[in-house]
Amino acid sequence: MRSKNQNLKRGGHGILTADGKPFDVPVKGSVGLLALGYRGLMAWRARRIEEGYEPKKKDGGK
Amino acid sequence: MAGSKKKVLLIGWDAADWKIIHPLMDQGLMPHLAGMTEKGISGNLETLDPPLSPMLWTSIATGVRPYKHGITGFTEVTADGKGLRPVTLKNRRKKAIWNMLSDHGYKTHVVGWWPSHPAEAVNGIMISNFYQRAGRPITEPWEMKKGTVYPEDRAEQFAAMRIHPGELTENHMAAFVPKYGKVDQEKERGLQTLARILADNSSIHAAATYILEYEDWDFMAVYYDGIDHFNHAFMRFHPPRREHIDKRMYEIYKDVVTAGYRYHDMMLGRLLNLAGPDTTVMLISDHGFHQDHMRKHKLLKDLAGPADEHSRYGVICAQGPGIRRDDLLYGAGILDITPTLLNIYGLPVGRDMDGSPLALHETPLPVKSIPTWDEGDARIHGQADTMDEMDRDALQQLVDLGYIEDPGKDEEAAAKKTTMENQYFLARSYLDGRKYEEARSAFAGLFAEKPWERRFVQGLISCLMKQQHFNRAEKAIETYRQAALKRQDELAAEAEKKEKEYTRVDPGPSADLMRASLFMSQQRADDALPLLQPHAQSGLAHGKLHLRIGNCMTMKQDWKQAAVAFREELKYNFDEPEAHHGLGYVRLREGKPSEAVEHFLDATGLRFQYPVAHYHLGEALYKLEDWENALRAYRVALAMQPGMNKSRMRIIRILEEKLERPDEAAPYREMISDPGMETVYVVTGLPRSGTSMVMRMLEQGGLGLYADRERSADTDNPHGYYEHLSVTRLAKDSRWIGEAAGKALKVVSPLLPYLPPRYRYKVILVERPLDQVMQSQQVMLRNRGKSKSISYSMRVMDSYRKVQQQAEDWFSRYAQLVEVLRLPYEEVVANPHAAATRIREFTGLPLDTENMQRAVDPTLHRNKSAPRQSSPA
Repeated sequence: MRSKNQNLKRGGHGILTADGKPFDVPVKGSVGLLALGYRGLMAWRARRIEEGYEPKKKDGGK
Repeated sequence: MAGSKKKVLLIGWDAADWKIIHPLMDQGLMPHLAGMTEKGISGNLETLDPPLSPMLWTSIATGVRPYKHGITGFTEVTADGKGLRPVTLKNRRKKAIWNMLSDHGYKTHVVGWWPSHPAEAVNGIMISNFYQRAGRPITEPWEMKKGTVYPEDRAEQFAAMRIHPGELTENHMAAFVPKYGKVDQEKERGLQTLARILADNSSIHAAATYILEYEDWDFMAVYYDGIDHFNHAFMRFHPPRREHIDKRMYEIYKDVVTAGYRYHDMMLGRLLNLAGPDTTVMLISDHGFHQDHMRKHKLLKDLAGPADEHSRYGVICAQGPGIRRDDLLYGAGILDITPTLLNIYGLPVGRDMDGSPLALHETPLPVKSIPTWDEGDARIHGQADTMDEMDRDALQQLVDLGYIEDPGKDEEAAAKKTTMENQYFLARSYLDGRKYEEARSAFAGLFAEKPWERRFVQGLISCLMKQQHFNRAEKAIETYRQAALKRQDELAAEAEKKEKEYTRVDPGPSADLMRASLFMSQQRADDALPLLQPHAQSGLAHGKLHLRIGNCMTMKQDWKQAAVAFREELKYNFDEPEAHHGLGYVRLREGKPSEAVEHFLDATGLRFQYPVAHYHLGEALYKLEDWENALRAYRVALAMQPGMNKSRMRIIRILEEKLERPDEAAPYREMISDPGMETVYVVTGLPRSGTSMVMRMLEQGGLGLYADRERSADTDNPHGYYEHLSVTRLAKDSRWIGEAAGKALKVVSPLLPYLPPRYRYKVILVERPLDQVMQSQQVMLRNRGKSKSISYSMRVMDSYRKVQQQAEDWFSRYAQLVEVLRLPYEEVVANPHAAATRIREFTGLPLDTENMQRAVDPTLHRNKSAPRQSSPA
């Protein structure tokens, strides 16, 4: 079992590329981030907050 | 026990199908699943009927069929009987794997299983299938229904991991629909549907990955509905484009299904990474999905309509410690999953389960068993009994997916309809489980209520045919035809009142095809053909029409016409394995084994789980004296159908006589000696040798008879004939023999070689001098006015000698399966007590010998030299 804080490193919102570098999380997200699951989702949401990005109301959903 | 090192991750991908996965893996588009197949074992996973996901996933989780676990549809009626809601756990009557593992202290988590609401108290976290649904716009609060998360104090934490479709952006849409900009979102809902599926499954994935990464766990089950939902919404646009599909829509949505699979593979990669190499990972689907020319143009209107798109085989792939690597698994079914999981944990399998552990490991794991895991009332106790707003939203989603009709505003009417539909699904489940009496009862109730509904009469006659009630089946078909005509009159009149158009549908063709099935089940090809052929000639595209004609021609041994019909079927559907098999069988019987092999290979290539095709492949190879390959084919047939003793006998013969490897044959011989095999008690002899008398003795002794009393008593046999009509057709159809297991069955000697070697037979051979038999038969013929002579034909007598020799050959050929008690007729009559005692000892049954001897009427024994009257048959 790991601690969440251990994983949320500075830069890349805890997401690293295959060669160990911080991943530049796109503010509009990506399928790859969703496929990472909890960590990808949290990284994306953190990036959105940093950028002040709010989803458009008409982007999918009801 | 808690703290065990054994860890299992069970991943459910609804509707995943190798037919679409294999090409994607070949192109390198699903690397994680491809890796799993290399590191582990994979194969088809056979579904159940009806292939409806909530029923199937509950069977997967419990190891039992739906009529045992109690989940019988997409929706259920609320306790007050007035409302409708998506199916919950309220009606589940059996423990699920997570209950069993929790009971044994394993840290157990479940995410999104369908159905799993309200979440149960497991030894871990359970998140129900009501978790991911966003029924409101993103601007409104997204509440989570009570009971969605166990333990309840974790609900808020997991609520934050849900992804609303409104959060998704063009980055996400572009991965599935590169031309998303061309979609007119005011008119088309494609992108909304896509966003909902992606958000739902990503929510499930976020929760699952959180648990895997941050919680202790021994077992984790996670279910994704994405592939099924992508398929139902977008498979129609999957390449190749069919003519009726709009070109513009095709260009926009043609990549969605492929992208959906790729997304699942990406998620799989993350799960495998979190699970680690020491975990057993098992990926399964509940059924497949037609992705080629078998895709439907139009779905049926009943609630099982969407299931028409589902195909028979889902997927299974497993990797982990001790599991066979880069190997194929055959004959697995969804009922085997829970027994397999229990086996991995070293826990006993319930003997009331309908599946059994799969042989996944290099070294087979020992199997333990207990009578049941369900002591007392295992019913799950949920919370809500009335429908709330969230149920309404969830219900609407099922409507949107096409799984259910819009219930409308009349909830009571909708509830009534749901009760009927669920009863229909239950009836199909009984039929699938070969519980014919229960199925017949359920279908009969539905048919009584709506005799014009084809699906109800079809179910009913399927049961009646299995039960050999052919006359009742015939009457049911006629009742349907008349009711359907009357119903059409009513609907036409209603339409006229409303000044609407109404198109009548003639029930005649459906009734004809049902009658044809009825005749075919009685091996009456000559009666079935006139009903089938006009539809074939008119070009009416009824399913598998030419296949059925081919089967009729095969029954008639008209090999030429059978081949023509099978080829016609293949013109329509080249992937029809039964047509390839039919053609192979024709070639085999025509003495062309090389050609037959090619067709059998086509058939088994299309449907590997096809034991009779493997058996016939073995026959063709045997004829070609290709012993090793014949052996392989017989072994595959046997692995798929362990009761197929004719394969076992062939294997023994090849190993002992052709390959001279008797040591290898020994286990097969032992299997044949298995005392658990079902026994049929056969009374045999030539006609008029005293077989009816012995049948009567057995009846009086307390043994059940397999006899239909169709042939009534007469002067020749004053106590009756104790026969069953099916026996007269034994040479053509022996499928019914199982119904005679444990009972006494009268089979005249000429038909003995047609008894299938999948049962054990205890044969009581009533022996009588041939001249006495002939004299008795002659009297009987005279009594019936069929002969005036008092002498009998020597030619017939010679032929009976041959019959007796054939019976002796059969006894010796199947000596492992057949035990024989030779009972001289005269001894029975002279000393009924001794005969009764011998019979009791031979059968090993606690028969009442006092009653048995009273069944023998010595006055029937006539003067051997002056046969004025007949003696018993």
